[in-house]
Amino acid sequence: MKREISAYILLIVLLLGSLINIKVLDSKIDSLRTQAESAYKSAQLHNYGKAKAELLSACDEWLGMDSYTHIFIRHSEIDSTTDAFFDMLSDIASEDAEGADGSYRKLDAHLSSLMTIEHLSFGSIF
Amino acid sequence: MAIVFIRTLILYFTLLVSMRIMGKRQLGQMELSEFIVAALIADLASTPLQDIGTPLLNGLVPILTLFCLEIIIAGLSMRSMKVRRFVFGKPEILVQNGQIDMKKMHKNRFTLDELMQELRSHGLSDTSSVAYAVLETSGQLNVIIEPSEQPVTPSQLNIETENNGYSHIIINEGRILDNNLRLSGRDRRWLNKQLNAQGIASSEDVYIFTLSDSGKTFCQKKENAK
Repeated sequence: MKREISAYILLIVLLLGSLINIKVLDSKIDSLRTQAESAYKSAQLHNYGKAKAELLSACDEWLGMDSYTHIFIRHSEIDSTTDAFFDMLSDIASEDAEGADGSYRKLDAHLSSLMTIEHLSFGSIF
Repeated sequence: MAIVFIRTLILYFTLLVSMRIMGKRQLGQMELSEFIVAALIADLASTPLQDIGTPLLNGLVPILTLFCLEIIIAGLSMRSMKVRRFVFGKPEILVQNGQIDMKKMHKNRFTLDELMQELRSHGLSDTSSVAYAVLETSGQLNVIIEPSEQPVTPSQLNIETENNGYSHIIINEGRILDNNLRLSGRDRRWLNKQLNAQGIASSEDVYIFTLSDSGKTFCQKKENAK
C-alpha cells in the first residue's frame, strides 16, 4: 500500500510539475514575444537604436534562461530560436526594415512553437 | 562523451531501482502490462542516451510515469478481481480430459503445432493423457497429467522419505555467511570442527558449504585449494 501511495504521489507531482512548467514557459515566452514585437515595431518606425536595445534585452533574457531551456527544451529548438534572435538582430543592425519584418515573423513563429509544443491540446497530444 | 556517460549512469540506476521496486516477477514471468512497461522502458531509455540534444527529462518523466502506473495497476489488481481480469485476462483451459477445446484455441490464437510443442516439452506425445492443459495469463501452458498416467509417489507406495529441509549456504566461495550460520543455530567453532573433519584448514579453501535443517552438510573444495 505504501508503494501505491508513493506512486500516486509521484504521478501527481509529475502532472503538477508539467503543468507548472507550462505556466513558467508561457510567462517566459510571453515576455520574449512582447519584447521582440516591440523591437519589430520600433524597426518599422525606423527607430533602429531603440529596436536594437529592445531586441538585445530580449536576446539576453533568452540566453540567460539557458539552465532552464537545456533541461526542458530540445537542443535543436533552442539553437533554431537563438539563430532567429541573431537573424533579427542582424537585420536591425543593418537597418533593414523589410528583412526585420521576415526575421521577426520567423522568431515569433519559433517562440510560439515552443509554447504550442508544451500546451495540452488535441493536436499536441496526437 | 561525459554527458552520455553521466546520462547512462542516471538512466541505469533509475531503471534498476524502478524494476527492483516493481518486483522480481518482472525478470521472469511477465504479464501483459509488465511486458508493455518493459518494452516501452527499453525504448524510452535509449533515446536520450543516444541523442544528447534531447533533454534527459524527456526520458526520465515517461519512465517514472510508467513505473508509477505499473505499481498502481499491480496494487489495484491485487485487491480487485475485476481489475485483475481486465488487465491480465484469465487462465483458459485448452485441453480437458484429453479433448482439445478448439474454440478456446482459436480465441487465444494458439495453434495445434504450438500445443503439441508444449505437450512434448512436458514429455507427452498426444493429449490422451492430459487431464487439463491451462494457458496461464503469463502465456505459459501448464499441463496436468491424468492421475492414472502420473508417476507413482513414495506416499502412494507407503515408503518413508527423509526430509532434509532447507539447505543454508554457510560458505560461499571462501566467505563465511555468519547470518546463515546463526540462522541454522551453529557457530564458527562448529564450522571449524566440520572443516577440520574433512581435512580443510581454512574456510577460504571452500567453494561451497551447505547445511540443511536436518543437519546434513555438503562441502566442495575450491579447485586450487591446497
